Amino acid sequence: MSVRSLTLGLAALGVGLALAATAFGAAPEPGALTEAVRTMLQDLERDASEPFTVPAGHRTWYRREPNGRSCTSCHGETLDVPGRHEKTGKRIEPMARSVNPERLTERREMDKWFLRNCKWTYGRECTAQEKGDILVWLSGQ
Amino acid sequence: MGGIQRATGGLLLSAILGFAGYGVLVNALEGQPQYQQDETYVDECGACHLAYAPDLLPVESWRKVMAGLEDHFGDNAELDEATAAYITTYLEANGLSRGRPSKMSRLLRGLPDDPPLRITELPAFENMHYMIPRELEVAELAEGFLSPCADCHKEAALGIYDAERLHPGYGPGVWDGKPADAPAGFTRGSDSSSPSRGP
Repeated sequence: MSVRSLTLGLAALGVGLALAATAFGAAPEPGALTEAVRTMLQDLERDASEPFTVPAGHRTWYRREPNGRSCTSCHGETLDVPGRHEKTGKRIEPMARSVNPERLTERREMDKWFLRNCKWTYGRECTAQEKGDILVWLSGQ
Repeated sequence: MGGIQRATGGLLLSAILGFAGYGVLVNALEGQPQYQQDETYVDECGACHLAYAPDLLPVESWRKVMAGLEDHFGDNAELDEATAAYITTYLEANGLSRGRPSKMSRLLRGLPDDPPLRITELPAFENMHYMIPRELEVAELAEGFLSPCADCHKEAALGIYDAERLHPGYGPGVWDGKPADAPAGFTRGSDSSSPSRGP
Protein backbone atom coordinates (compact mmCIF):
# COMPACT_ATOMS: atom_id res chain seq x y z
CA MET A 1 0.00 0.00 0.00
CA SER A 2 1.31 3.45 -0.86
CA VAL A 3 1.85 6.17 1.74
CA ARG A 4 -0.87 8.24 0.05
CA SER A 5 -3.54 5.55 0.31
CA LEU A 6 -2.52 4.82 3.89
CA THR A 7 -2.90 8.50 4.73
CA LEU A 8 -6.29 8.60 3.02
CA GLY A 9 -7.39 5.49 4.87
CA LEU A 10 -6.34 6.95 8.22
CA ALA A 11 -8.15 10.21 7.43
CA ALA A 12 -11.34 8.29 6.58
CA LEU A 13 -11.02 6.33 9.81
CA GLY A 14 -10.62 9.60 11.74
CA VAL A 15 -13.74 11.12 10.17
CA GLY A 16 -15.67 7.92 10.88
CA LEU A 17 -14.60 7.89 14.54
CA ALA A 18 -15.47 11.56 14.92
CA LEU A 19 -18.94 10.95 13.49
CA ALA A 20 -19.47 7.95 15.74
CA ALA A 21 -18.36 9.96 18.78
CA THR A 22 -20.85 12.71 17.91
CA ALA A 23 -23.66 10.19 17.58
CA PHE A 24 -22.85 8.51 20.90
CA GLY A 25 -22.23 11.78 22.70
CA ALA A 26 -25.58 13.30 21.74
CA ALA A 27 -28.00 13.97 24.57
CA PRO A 28 -30.54 11.17 24.90
CA GLU A 29 -34.17 11.73 24.05
CA PRO A 30 -35.97 12.94 27.19
CA GLY A 31 -37.81 10.13 28.91
CA ALA A 32 -36.18 7.43 26.79
CA LEU A 33 -35.34 4.39 28.91
CA THR A 34 -31.88 2.90 28.67
CA GLU A 35 -31.56 -0.83 28.14
CA ALA A 36 -30.34 -1.16 31.74
CA VAL A 37 -33.37 0.72 33.09
CA ARG A 38 -35.77 -1.30 30.93
CA THR A 39 -34.54 -4.61 32.30
CA MET A 40 -34.35 -3.30 35.85
CA LEU A 41 -37.96 -2.06 35.68
CA GLN A 42 -39.05 -5.51 34.51
CA ASP A 43 -37.39 -7.03 37.57
CA LEU A 44 -38.86 -4.43 39.92
CA GLU A 45 -42.40 -4.75 38.54
CA ARG A 46 -42.70 -8.21 40.05
CA ASP A 47 -42.43 -6.75 43.58
CA ALA A 48 -44.33 -3.50 43.05
CA SER A 49 -48.06 -3.02 43.63
CA GLU A 50 -48.63 0.08 41.48
CA PRO A 51 -47.44 1.10 38.03
CA PHE A 52 -44.32 3.25 38.17
CA THR A 53 -45.01 6.94 37.55
CA VAL A 54 -43.03 10.11 37.03
CA PRO A 55 -44.82 12.17 39.73
CA ALA A 56 -44.30 9.43 42.34
CA GLY A 57 -40.60 9.30 41.43
CA HIS A 58 -40.36 13.07 41.75
CA ARG A 59 -42.02 12.96 45.18
CA THR A 60 -39.74 10.18 46.41
CA TRP A 61 -36.62 11.94 45.17
CA TYR A 62 -37.42 15.16 47.03
CA ARG A 63 -38.93 13.52 50.13
CA ARG A 64 -37.11 14.65 53.25
CA GLU A 65 -36.77 12.34 56.23
CA PRO A 66 -37.31 13.61 59.80
CA ASN A 67 -33.52 13.47 60.20
CA GLY A 68 -33.25 15.98 57.35
CA ARG A 69 -31.87 13.49 54.83
CA SER A 70 -33.03 13.35 51.23
CA CYS A 71 -31.64 12.35 47.83
CA THR A 72 -30.92 16.03 47.42
CA SER A 73 -28.60 16.07 50.46
CA CYS A 74 -25.80 14.99 48.13
CA HIS A 75 -27.26 15.25 44.62
CA GLY A 76 -28.47 18.81 45.11
CA GLU A 77 -31.84 20.37 44.29
CA THR A 78 -31.09 20.57 40.58
CA LEU A 79 -30.20 17.45 38.64
CA ASP A 80 -28.35 18.97 35.69
CA VAL A 81 -25.54 20.38 37.82
CA PRO A 82 -23.02 18.44 39.94
CA GLY A 83 -23.84 17.56 43.52
CA ARG A 84 -21.53 17.40 46.52
CA HIS A 85 -21.06 14.55 48.96
CA GLU A 86 -22.71 15.76 52.13
CA LYS A 87 -19.75 14.85 54.31
CA THR A 88 -16.61 14.77 52.19
CA GLY A 89 -17.60 17.53 49.77
CA LYS A 90 -16.50 15.39 46.83
CA ARG A 91 -18.08 16.37 43.53
CA ILE A 92 -20.88 14.07 42.33
CA GLU A 93 -21.50 14.13 38.59
CA PRO A 94 -24.96 15.40 37.58
CA MET A 95 -27.78 12.84 37.73
CA ALA A 96 -29.62 14.19 34.67
CA ARG A 97 -29.05 12.14 31.54
CA SER A 98 -29.56 15.28 29.47
CA VAL A 99 -26.13 16.46 30.60
CA ASN A 100 -24.59 13.17 31.76
CA PRO A 101 -25.62 10.38 29.38
CA GLU A 102 -23.57 7.80 31.34
CA ARG A 103 -26.23 7.83 34.05
CA LEU A 104 -28.59 4.82 34.26
CA THR A 105 -26.60 2.76 31.80
CA GLU A 106 -25.07 0.19 34.15
CA ARG A 107 -27.16 -2.14 36.25
CA ARG A 108 -24.33 -2.86 38.66
CA GLU A 109 -23.90 0.83 39.44
CA MET A 110 -27.63 1.37 39.87
CA ASP A 111 -27.98 -1.57 42.28
CA LYS A 112 -24.93 -0.48 44.26
CA TRP A 113 -25.97 3.13 44.71
CA PHE A 114 -29.63 2.36 45.43
CA LEU A 115 -28.49 0.01 48.20
CA ARG A 116 -25.99 2.41 49.76
CA ASN A 117 -27.93 5.61 49.36
CA CYS A 118 -31.35 4.29 50.42
CA LYS A 119 -29.78 2.90 53.58
CA TRP A 120 -28.09 6.21 54.31
CA THR A 121 -31.14 8.31 53.54
CA TYR A 122 -33.96 6.14 54.89
CA GLY A 123 -32.10 3.70 57.13
CA ARG A 124 -33.44 0.83 55.03
CA GLU A 125 -33.38 -0.50 51.50
CA CYS A 126 -35.77 1.16 49.07
CA THR A 127 -38.84 -0.77 48.00
CA ALA A 128 -39.22 -1.95 44.42
CA GLN A 129 -41.98 0.66 44.07
CA GLU A 130 -39.70 3.51 45.16
CA LYS A 131 -36.86 2.40 42.91
CA GLY A 132 -39.11 1.98 39.88
CA ASP A 133 -40.77 5.35 40.38
CA ILE A 134 -37.40 7.08 40.76
CA LEU A 135 -36.04 5.36 37.66
CA VAL A 136 -38.89 6.43 35.36
CA TRP A 137 -38.70 9.97 36.70
CA LEU A 138 -34.89 10.16 36.50
CA SER A 139 -34.94 8.83 32.96
CA GLY A 140 -36.67 12.01 31.82
CA GLN A 141 -34.22 14.39 33.47
CA MET B 1 3.23 19.71 0.60
CA GLY B 2 3.04 16.09 -0.43
CA GLY B 3 1.62 13.19 1.50
CA ILE B 4 5.05 11.84 2.41
CA GLN B 5 6.21 15.13 3.90
CA ARG B 6 2.95 15.46 5.75
CA ALA B 7 3.22 11.94 7.18
CA THR B 8 6.87 12.48 8.12
CA GLY B 9 6.01 15.80 9.78
CA GLY B 10 3.21 14.15 11.71
CA LEU B 11 5.49 11.37 12.84
CA LEU B 12 8.16 13.82 13.97
CA LEU B 13 5.62 15.93 15.83
CA SER B 14 4.19 12.85 17.59
CA ALA B 15 7.70 11.78 18.54
CA ILE B 16 8.51 15.19 19.99
CA LEU B 17 5.22 15.37 21.88
CA GLY B 18 5.73 11.80 23.08
CA PHE B 19 9.17 12.57 24.49
CA ALA B 20 7.92 15.78 26.08
CA GLY B 21 5.00 13.96 27.67
CA TYR B 22 7.34 11.28 28.94
CA GLY B 23 9.55 13.92 30.51
CA VAL B 24 6.60 15.55 32.24
CA LEU B 25 5.46 12.17 33.51
CA VAL B 26 8.89 11.26 34.83
CA ASN B 27 9.08 14.60 36.60
CA ALA B 28 5.62 14.19 38.11
CA LEU B 29 6.50 10.75 39.41
CA GLU B 30 9.81 11.80 40.91
CA GLY B 31 8.68 11.08 44.44
CA GLN B 32 7.04 7.88 43.28
CA PRO B 33 4.57 6.04 45.46
CA GLN B 34 5.67 2.54 46.37
CA TYR B 35 2.31 0.93 46.15
CA GLN B 36 0.51 -0.53 43.18
CA GLN B 37 -2.26 1.68 41.76
CA ASP B 38 -5.52 -0.14 41.21
CA GLU B 39 -8.41 0.96 39.03
CA THR B 40 -11.10 -0.91 40.98
CA TYR B 41 -9.89 0.55 44.26
CA VAL B 42 -9.84 4.09 42.88
CA ASP B 43 -13.27 3.70 41.22
CA GLU B 44 -15.01 2.18 44.22
CA CYS B 45 -13.41 4.08 47.08
CA GLY B 46 -12.73 7.25 45.15
CA ALA B 47 -16.42 7.79 44.32
CA CYS B 48 -17.13 9.46 47.66
CA HIS B 49 -13.71 10.65 48.81
CA LEU B 50 -10.09 10.73 47.77
CA ALA B 51 -9.00 7.14 47.16
CA TYR B 52 -6.49 7.28 50.00
CA ALA B 53 -3.16 5.71 49.16
CA PRO B 54 -3.17 2.21 50.68
CA ASP B 55 0.14 2.86 52.41
CA LEU B 56 -1.44 5.51 54.62
CA LEU B 57 -3.00 2.92 56.94
CA PRO B 58 -1.83 -0.33 58.56
CA VAL B 59 -3.13 -3.56 57.09
CA GLU B 60 -5.00 -4.35 60.36
CA SER B 61 -6.89 -1.06 60.08
CA TRP B 62 -7.77 -1.67 56.44
CA ARG B 63 -9.14 -5.11 57.33
CA LYS B 64 -11.42 -3.56 59.92
CA VAL B 65 -12.51 -0.81 57.55
CA MET B 66 -13.38 -3.38 54.90
CA ALA B 67 -15.28 -5.52 57.41
CA GLY B 68 -17.51 -2.59 58.37
CA LEU B 69 -18.48 -0.95 55.10
CA GLU B 70 -22.19 -0.87 55.98
CA ASP B 71 -21.31 1.74 58.61
CA HIS B 72 -18.33 3.50 57.08
CA PHE B 73 -17.83 6.42 59.46
CA GLY B 74 -21.57 7.03 59.33
CA ASP B 75 -22.05 6.36 55.62
CA ASN B 76 -23.10 3.19 53.88
CA ALA B 77 -20.36 2.01 51.55
CA GLU B 78 -21.45 -1.59 51.02
CA LEU B 79 -19.88 -3.50 48.17
CA ASP B 80 -20.75 -6.84 46.63
CA GLU B 81 -18.74 -9.68 48.12
CA ALA B 82 -16.45 -10.24 45.16
CA THR B 83 -15.46 -6.57 44.90
CA ALA B 84 -15.00 -6.25 48.66
CA ALA B 85 -12.79 -9.34 48.70
CA TYR B 86 -10.74 -8.01 45.80
CA ILE B 87 -10.19 -4.64 47.46
CA THR B 88 -9.35 -6.26 50.82
CA THR B 89 -6.67 -8.36 49.14
CA TYR B 90 -5.32 -5.27 47.40
CA LEU B 91 -5.14 -3.33 50.67
CA GLU B 92 -3.51 -6.24 52.48
CA ALA B 93 -0.84 -6.37 49.80
CA ASN B 94 -0.23 -2.60 49.72
CA GLY B 95 -1.11 -1.36 53.20
CA LEU B 96 1.43 -0.56 55.89
CA SER B 97 2.99 -3.53 57.57
CA ARG B 98 5.93 -3.84 59.94
CA GLY B 99 7.38 -6.65 57.90
CA ARG B 100 7.36 -4.55 54.75
CA PRO B 101 9.34 -1.34 55.13
CA SER B 102 8.32 1.46 52.78
CA LYS B 103 8.60 5.19 52.36
CA MET B 104 5.48 5.64 54.51
CA SER B 105 6.61 3.29 57.28
CA ARG B 106 7.05 6.30 59.57
CA LEU B 107 3.27 6.26 59.93
CA LEU B 108 3.70 3.08 61.98
CA ARG B 109 5.59 4.93 64.72
CA GLY B 110 3.86 4.82 68.07
CA LEU B 111 1.07 2.66 66.69
CA PRO B 112 -1.07 1.11 69.45
CA ASP B 113 -1.88 -2.61 69.41
CA ASP B 114 -5.38 -1.80 68.32
CA PRO B 115 -4.66 0.72 65.54
CA PRO B 116 -7.23 3.42 64.73
CA LEU B 117 -9.40 3.18 61.62
CA ARG B 118 -8.85 6.77 60.59
CA ILE B 119 -5.60 7.86 58.97
CA THR B 120 -5.94 11.18 60.79
CA GLU B 121 -5.92 9.37 64.15
CA LEU B 122 -2.61 7.58 63.65
CA PRO B 123 -0.23 8.96 66.31
CA ALA B 124 2.45 9.56 63.69
CA PHE B 125 -0.02 11.40 61.46
CA GLU B 126 -0.97 13.64 64.36
CA ASN B 127 2.69 14.37 65.03
CA MET B 128 3.29 15.30 61.41
CA HIS B 129 0.35 17.71 61.39
CA TYR B 130 0.57 19.11 64.90
CA MET B 131 1.44 22.58 63.69
CA ILE B 132 -1.66 23.09 61.56
CA PRO B 133 -4.13 24.26 64.23
CA ARG B 134 -1.43 26.56 65.57
CA GLU B 135 -0.73 28.03 62.16
CA LEU B 136 -4.43 28.49 61.50
CA GLU B 137 -4.79 29.96 64.98
CA VAL B 138 -7.61 27.69 66.02
CA ALA B 139 -7.82 25.69 69.26
CA GLU B 140 -9.01 22.55 67.54
CA LEU B 141 -9.62 21.46 63.97
CA ALA B 142 -13.17 20.58 62.95
CA GLU B 143 -13.83 16.87 62.49
CA GLY B 144 -12.71 15.79 59.06
CA PHE B 145 -10.72 18.98 58.52
CA LEU B 146 -7.59 17.08 57.52
CA SER B 147 -9.41 14.37 55.53
CA PRO B 148 -9.20 15.96 52.06
CA CYS B 149 -5.42 15.42 51.73
CA ALA B 150 -5.36 16.94 48.26
CA ASP B 151 -6.30 20.37 49.61
CA CYS B 152 -2.65 20.75 50.63
CA HIS B 153 -0.85 17.72 49.18
CA LYS B 154 -1.29 18.44 45.49
CA GLU B 155 -0.17 14.93 44.49
CA ALA B 156 -2.25 13.07 47.06
CA ALA B 157 -4.06 11.13 44.35
CA LEU B 158 -0.68 9.73 43.29
CA GLY B 159 0.20 8.80 46.86
CA ILE B 160 2.88 11.48 47.11
CA TYR B 161 2.88 13.31 50.43
CA ASP B 162 6.38 14.74 50.73
CA ALA B 163 6.42 17.93 52.79
CA GLU B 164 8.40 19.59 49.99
CA ARG B 165 5.74 18.83 47.42
CA LEU B 166 2.75 20.67 48.85
CA HIS B 167 0.73 23.28 46.99
CA PRO B 168 2.69 26.53 46.77
CA GLY B 169 2.22 28.59 49.90
CA TYR B 170 1.84 25.61 52.23
CA GLY B 171 4.21 23.67 54.38
CA PRO B 172 7.13 24.01 56.73
CA GLY B 173 9.07 26.20 54.33
CA VAL B 174 6.38 28.83 54.60
CA TRP B 175 5.85 28.33 58.30
CA ASP B 176 9.17 29.87 59.29
CA GLY B 177 11.00 26.67 58.46
CA LYS B 178 9.50 24.87 61.42
CA PRO B 179 10.17 21.16 61.38
CA ALA B 180 7.53 18.86 59.90
CA ASP B 181 7.75 16.60 62.93
CA ALA B 182 6.57 17.62 66.37
CA PRO B 183 9.21 18.49 68.96
CA ALA B 184 10.20 15.64 71.27
CA GLY B 185 7.70 15.07 74.02
CA PHE B 186 4.82 16.54 72.06
CA THR B 187 1.52 14.73 72.29
CA ARG B 188 -1.77 15.99 71.07
CA GLY B 189 -5.03 15.99 72.97
CA SER B 190 -4.40 17.78 76.25
CA ASP B 191 -3.84 21.46 76.90
CA SER B 192 -0.83 20.99 79.11
CA SER B 193 1.09 19.33 76.30
CA SER B 194 0.77 22.06 73.70
CA PRO B 195 4.19 22.80 72.27
CA SER B 196 6.06 25.55 74.02
CA ARG B 197 6.67 28.66 71.96
CA GLY B 198 9.66 29.67 74.05
CA PRO B 199 10.13 32.94 75.86
